[in-house]
Amino acid sequence: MVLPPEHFQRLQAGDEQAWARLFRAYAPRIYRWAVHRGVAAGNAEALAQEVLATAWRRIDRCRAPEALTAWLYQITRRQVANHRRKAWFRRVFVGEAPAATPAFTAEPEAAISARAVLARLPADLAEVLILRDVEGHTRDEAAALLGLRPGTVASRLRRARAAFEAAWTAREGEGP
Amino acid sequence: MTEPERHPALDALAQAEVPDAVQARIVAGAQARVERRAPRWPWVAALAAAGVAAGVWIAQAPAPAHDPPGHQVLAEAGAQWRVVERLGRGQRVALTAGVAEFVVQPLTGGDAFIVDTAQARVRVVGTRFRVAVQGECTAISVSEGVVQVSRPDGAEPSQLTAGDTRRVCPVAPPQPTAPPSEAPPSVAPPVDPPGQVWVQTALGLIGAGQEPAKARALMERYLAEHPQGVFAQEALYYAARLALEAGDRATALARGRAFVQRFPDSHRTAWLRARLPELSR
Repeated sequence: MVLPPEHFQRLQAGDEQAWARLFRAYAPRIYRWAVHRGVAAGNAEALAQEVLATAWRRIDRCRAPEALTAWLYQITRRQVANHRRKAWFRRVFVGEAPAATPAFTAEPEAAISARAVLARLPADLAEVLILRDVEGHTRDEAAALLGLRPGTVASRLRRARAAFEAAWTAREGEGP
Repeated sequence: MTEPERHPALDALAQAEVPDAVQARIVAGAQARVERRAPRWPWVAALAAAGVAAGVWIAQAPAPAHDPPGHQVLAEAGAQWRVVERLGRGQRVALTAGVAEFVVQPLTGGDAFIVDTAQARVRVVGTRFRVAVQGECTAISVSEGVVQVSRPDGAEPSQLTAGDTRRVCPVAPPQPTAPPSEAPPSVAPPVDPPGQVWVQTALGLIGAGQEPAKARALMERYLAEHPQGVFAQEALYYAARLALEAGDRATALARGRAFVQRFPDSHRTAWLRARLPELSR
């Protein structure tokens, strides 16, 4: 999604309607990014709200309209990383285990299982797999979002697919 | 050595759809966070100054953490309006001059949000629309959701959906405006509180990922008893989706065909066509 220059200028000027439209346009995408990266549904809602509010506060740091989506993705990545660190702390020191709950409309069990497997992958592999094989971005689009070269995205995707296959097979071997 | 391919287990994630209620909460929550940070927008500054207001946040009673925040009236300079009465979690607002935009949170049961002008009455449940008093006429345009517009006495009702506009004047008959690809709005179906509860209950179950069979039954019941109701679009779409996910492809196709025929320009049509290729033949 690339905003017209005039719309981007309205965002920078703090135009309320322009921001309301941006919030509506990006809310589902940011939520999906967070959930696919292992954030529980309820926390993903709050995280998405914070990403959008951060964008509103720091829009002056976005270089250009065509960089907006990648910039929002980077904000989401940082928020997700912070959340995962806190979740790890709660899991290790407090013993709090997150529940595997549906995050989408009428979500089948297979989707919940796939997300659980994704959560086990290293972050750099999981990100590429999500952007390419779940969200449907092209190699170049994924490279732009991640700030990587297209060749790096391609090699990570190969490794990510192999890792997902291995983790999925191992999960099936664990039984119900 | 063969290249690893995309794993089929990821299809379920690729098809996942964010519930409308979740999207609405994220947007409302982001706006609330922005307002708490700084009065950057004119209407927030006006509220803080208790002076001329370009918009007002209508506060509701304290609610649990997951309930949506209050409704919003974003009135342009010069608009004259007032809250006439509360209707449960909704309210009735009188707009006597100028232009205002209304952001209404989803309501339940017999609650309603009503805007009265000299020429028209606008009644909604969970949507975003604009009302402009222009001389002796009132113009209504809807950007999200569904609203019912009539004369103040309830005559000449019509149903407006996203993208529709209607102008109500005291002398000339109203000229509803609809996108060319959609059929012109006919006489609006009556408000049907029982059916509304079924749809809202089903949407709640769907959003929580619980009891899909019950959600499907509720949607089917709504379609059986209110085939032309204001929630027919939601009911048809989710009846098709839930039937598909339950493995009942025949019903999914039937509901999908009905949906595509009645709502060809809906963003949901593309989703249905992708998963039911027969719809495109």
